[in-house]
Amino acid sequence: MRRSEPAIAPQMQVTAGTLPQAPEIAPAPPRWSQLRQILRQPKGMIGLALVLFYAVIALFAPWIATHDPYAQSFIATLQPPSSTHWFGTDELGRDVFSRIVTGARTSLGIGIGGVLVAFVIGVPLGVLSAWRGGKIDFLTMRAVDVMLSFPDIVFALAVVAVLGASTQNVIFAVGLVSVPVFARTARAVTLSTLAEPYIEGSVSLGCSPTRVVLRHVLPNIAGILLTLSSLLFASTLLTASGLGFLGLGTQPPNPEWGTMLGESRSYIRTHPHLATFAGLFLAVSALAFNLLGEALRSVYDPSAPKVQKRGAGAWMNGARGIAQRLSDADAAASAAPVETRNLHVAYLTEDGPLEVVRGVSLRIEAGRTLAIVGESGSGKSTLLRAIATLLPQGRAAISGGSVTVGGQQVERLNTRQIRELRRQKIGVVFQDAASALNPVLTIGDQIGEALRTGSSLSPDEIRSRSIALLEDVNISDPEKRLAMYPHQFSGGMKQRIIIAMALAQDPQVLLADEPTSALDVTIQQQILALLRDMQRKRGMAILLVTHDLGLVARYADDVGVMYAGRIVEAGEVAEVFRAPRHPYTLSLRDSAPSVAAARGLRSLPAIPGEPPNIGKLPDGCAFRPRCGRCDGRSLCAEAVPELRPVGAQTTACHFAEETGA
Amino acid sequence: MTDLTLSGDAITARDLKVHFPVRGGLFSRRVLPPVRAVDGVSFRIPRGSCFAIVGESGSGKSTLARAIVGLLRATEGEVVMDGTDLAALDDAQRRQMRRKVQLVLQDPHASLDPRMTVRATLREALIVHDLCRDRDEQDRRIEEVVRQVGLSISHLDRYPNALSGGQRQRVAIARGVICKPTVLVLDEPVSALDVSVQAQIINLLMDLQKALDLTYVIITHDLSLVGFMADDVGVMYLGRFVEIGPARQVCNHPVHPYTRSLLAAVAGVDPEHEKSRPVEILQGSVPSPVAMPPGCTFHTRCPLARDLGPRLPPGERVTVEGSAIPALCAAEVPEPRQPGAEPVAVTCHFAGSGQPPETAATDAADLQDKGR
Ligand SMILES: Nc1ncnc2c1ncn2[C@@H]1O[C@H](COP(=O)(O)OP(=O)(O)OP(=O)(O)O)[C@@H](O)[C@H]1O
Ligand SMILES: Nc1ncnc2c1ncn2[C@@H]1O[C@H](COP(=O)(O)OP(=O)(O)O)[C@@H](O)[C@H]1O
Ligand code: SF4
Ligand code: SF4
Ligand SMILES: [Mg+2]
Ligand SMILES: [Mg+2]
Repeated sequence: MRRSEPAIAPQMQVTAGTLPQAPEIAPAPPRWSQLRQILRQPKGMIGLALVLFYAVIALFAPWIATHDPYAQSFIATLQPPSSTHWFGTDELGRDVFSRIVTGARTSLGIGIGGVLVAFVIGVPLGVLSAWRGGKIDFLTMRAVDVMLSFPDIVFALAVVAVLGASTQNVIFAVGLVSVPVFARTARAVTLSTLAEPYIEGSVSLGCSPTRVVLRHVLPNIAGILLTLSSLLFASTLLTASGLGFLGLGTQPPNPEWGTMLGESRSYIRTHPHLATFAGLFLAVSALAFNLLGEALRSVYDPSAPKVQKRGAGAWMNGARGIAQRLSDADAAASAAPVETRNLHVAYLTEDGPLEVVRGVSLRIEAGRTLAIVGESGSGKSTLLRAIATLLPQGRAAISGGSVTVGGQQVERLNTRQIRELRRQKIGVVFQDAASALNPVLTIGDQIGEALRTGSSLSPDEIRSRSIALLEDVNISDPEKRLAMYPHQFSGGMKQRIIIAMALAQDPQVLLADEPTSALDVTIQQQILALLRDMQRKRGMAILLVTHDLGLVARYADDVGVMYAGRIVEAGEVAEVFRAPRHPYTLSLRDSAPSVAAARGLRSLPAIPGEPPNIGKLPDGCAFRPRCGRCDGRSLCAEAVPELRPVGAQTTACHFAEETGA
Repeated sequence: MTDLTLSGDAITARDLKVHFPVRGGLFSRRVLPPVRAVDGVSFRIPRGSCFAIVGESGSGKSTLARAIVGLLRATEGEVVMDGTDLAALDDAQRRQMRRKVQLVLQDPHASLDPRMTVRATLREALIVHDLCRDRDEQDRRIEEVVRQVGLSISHLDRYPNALSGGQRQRVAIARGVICKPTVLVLDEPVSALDVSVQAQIINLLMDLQKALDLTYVIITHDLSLVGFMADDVGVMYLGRFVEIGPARQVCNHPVHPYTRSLLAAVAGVDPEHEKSRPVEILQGSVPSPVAMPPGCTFHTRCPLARDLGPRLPPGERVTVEGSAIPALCAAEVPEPRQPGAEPVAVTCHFAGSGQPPETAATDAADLQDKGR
């Protein structure tokens, strides 16, 4: 379900075209390679062979059957297998072999129909509840829990009892029984797919929810759902046969394996062949689909056995919902591309809201870069997501203050306006380029999508604009690259493609969350230099979240240092780094290995203590337990220090005028 | 062979090659050249020391790391660990070996199971390596390690998704150290951490190394970390070491043009200095190891070659992608040689032999020494 081992590393890395005759390696067409993967496993081979065997029987039943399956013969009832009647005859003298062959259609049809019903109801339900979260999710999952607490057959019996016995109703009943499993699985895999950065990427482009689901979610969860269908086919078949056996399924004289089993009940002692053959076909068909399902499962889901595990609650944590909930807060429009005022953002956890951004006010002017630095867990990414309007819906919300992007206050916009805002004004670049691109679409498709959303460009225009964008981000040979898939690019190139997509709509604001942390020094510099050039050309405001102070020193104009959800020091980079006033900033600067190495230290001056636990912050200054400057002074424990101008910057420390940490 | 096994080295590699076969399409009959991810490296790592491997991504660092821990088999050459040749082991013995050699992976997103709590992840490591049998003992060890990596006990029952990126990386590191291995191979252990945590982890790693007599192999692209932590360093480009020697020497007085470019990219924390200095960024990225450039593999990007080329008479230079470089660079593979008194081996026809402009070396050394 997730990439679990880097062993699936790309076959080769495509380079910036430094070599004239680098051989092109065509990846094997995905479908065939999957088929091969299935056939490579014994269970896959046997399963597939048996399923094909059944399919042939069902399709060609009229030609395979040796007798008329309905023709009764009272002189030849209950005969044992013989050369004329291979499987013997039943109590009405009908040929059992022909009846089994003819019954294949109904029996398998019920299985397929049932799975279809379950699929058609369960998958949308699961995707919807993963997508929307909140109440819908809660209600659906409770309903699913209730349904799952009944044994399948009991539930199906109840449905058929209400609707009446017929083949259609059986299909509906057994389908309904499997809905919960589908819904739950679809929800789980959707949630994990939504957590992938490339989904966030396309949402940040302003894609509509339907488009995101159809283009990005469904293709990526299809494999697992297919696997599940095949596994459920077996159980559906058995439930249906159970109904048939109880006389509630297909009605006589139509042959169906379950019904045939039921009819053979009275003769089980005297004429066991009746039950044997119907039972055998039934059991083997269930086995066949099960084997195939297992084989599919190991192809699509490396962590297989856990798929249907109960307690999918853990998935909640990974959820990335989409648009953010709106509130009616009030604030004046401003001219700066980005402005937040006393912004608070909370995650909605099981134990109530957890505020991880606790009053951040910042402003980025056009053409300037503000870097946010701080410890992990300090809320940098959450802050960036709040500005990007990408807080996970139903799981996090702005709990106070306001965000204004391009003069529009986001809390006041409706869903459609937010999409417009994202599309026109905001570009987002996340850290993990590898997963920020959809692996099943070409680069051309994805850049095209970034250009297309909300505009009416012709295919030719889109193509030429895409090529221009790739040229802008220094990717050589752009015409050829458009048809290539993400795995054919190196990490640095993927990140540049992401940047190209973020810039597709000429945004006023570029939000970059550790855009280069996963990349090596050379590419880091190339990317940041590229961003700086782009900024100069287009006058964008850039918010750069990073933990690399060297990059801040080289590329940012202003810096905000975050600690436990607040900005504790802010100002121009030159000033803040030259003379940090907050003890945290000071230690941050001095704990860089390069600084320590230059001073000849044997161990790094690390900040002591544990990172703050945002749910249980101390009274007063949050940095107090780790602060070397506080020295037990009571003011630090009594009052939260506010940001105030000290020297050339603003600092939130009661004793900012003192030096030393 | 004998001199290698008898020495006090934790790991020795000799002419190690790891090639990946490339398959054509389903019916393709083309025979494609293999991906030469690691293409002939030799080194020795004394017990208790720290060896760093640096280079851009795609230079083969991770592949080398995997070959060292025995996750990949060497195509040619040998890796000898504590006197045992890894190639001679069967799978069961390899697993045995793995207990002693732990690999901390580069990407904690991919290497942590999203459906396991931190506690379960760490417990699994203990169970897999059959360390603490008793549950209480396991819990004690888990809590100890978790504190060592700077997490709090309250994080133990969280799922990876509810941890921030840095917190996740610490879990991955905790998982590496929980089994008390003798060799720790760290694939970019701190590149995802912020500086203050980096410092803690680096200090922790250094303390652990002393306390447990650990041998480290650190793979990184952060040269400032190398200068601080490593005893020796190998600078890798396209599967080979272009410069290898004592870390201090290599970081303070880099000789090979590739090492010098890497060092130039390291930014210090002095904004005035950083913004005023023009940074010469190496262009492009590492070429595909499927089609290695002929001659010196670095010639397609080498700034030194581009510097020297135009000064040579026309007969001795060639033009590659619009710039003139010495013909020698494109034609002949340079052999490693020792340019000075220090035991540093450099693989370049020109660097350190007196011809290249002397200024560059002092520049880079300067950069290291400055208060950055
Ligand atoms: N879905 C979630 N549910 C509950 N808490 C969360 C969730 N996502 C993040 N958190 C918590 O919110 C806090 C801030 O997380 P955030 O990702 O914004 O940190 P960050 O500063 O970006 O860290 P890093 O540098 O590691 O990326 C952390 O304590 C984290 O554990
Ligand atoms: N399993 C594999 N199959 C084919 N090529 C691979 C495989 N693993 C790595 N490579 C290639 O080998 C080269 C070196 O990769 P890697 O060792 O990951 O480099 P680094 O860690 O320095 O970034 C790259 O070009 C990469 O694409
Ligand atoms: S307010 Fe007190 S505890 Fe907080 S940083 Fe300043 S001196 Fe330290
Ligand atoms: S041999 Fe030539 S191309 Fe290679 S590193 Fe030396 S100068 Fe550069
Ligand atoms: Mg973050
Ligand atoms: Mg790597």
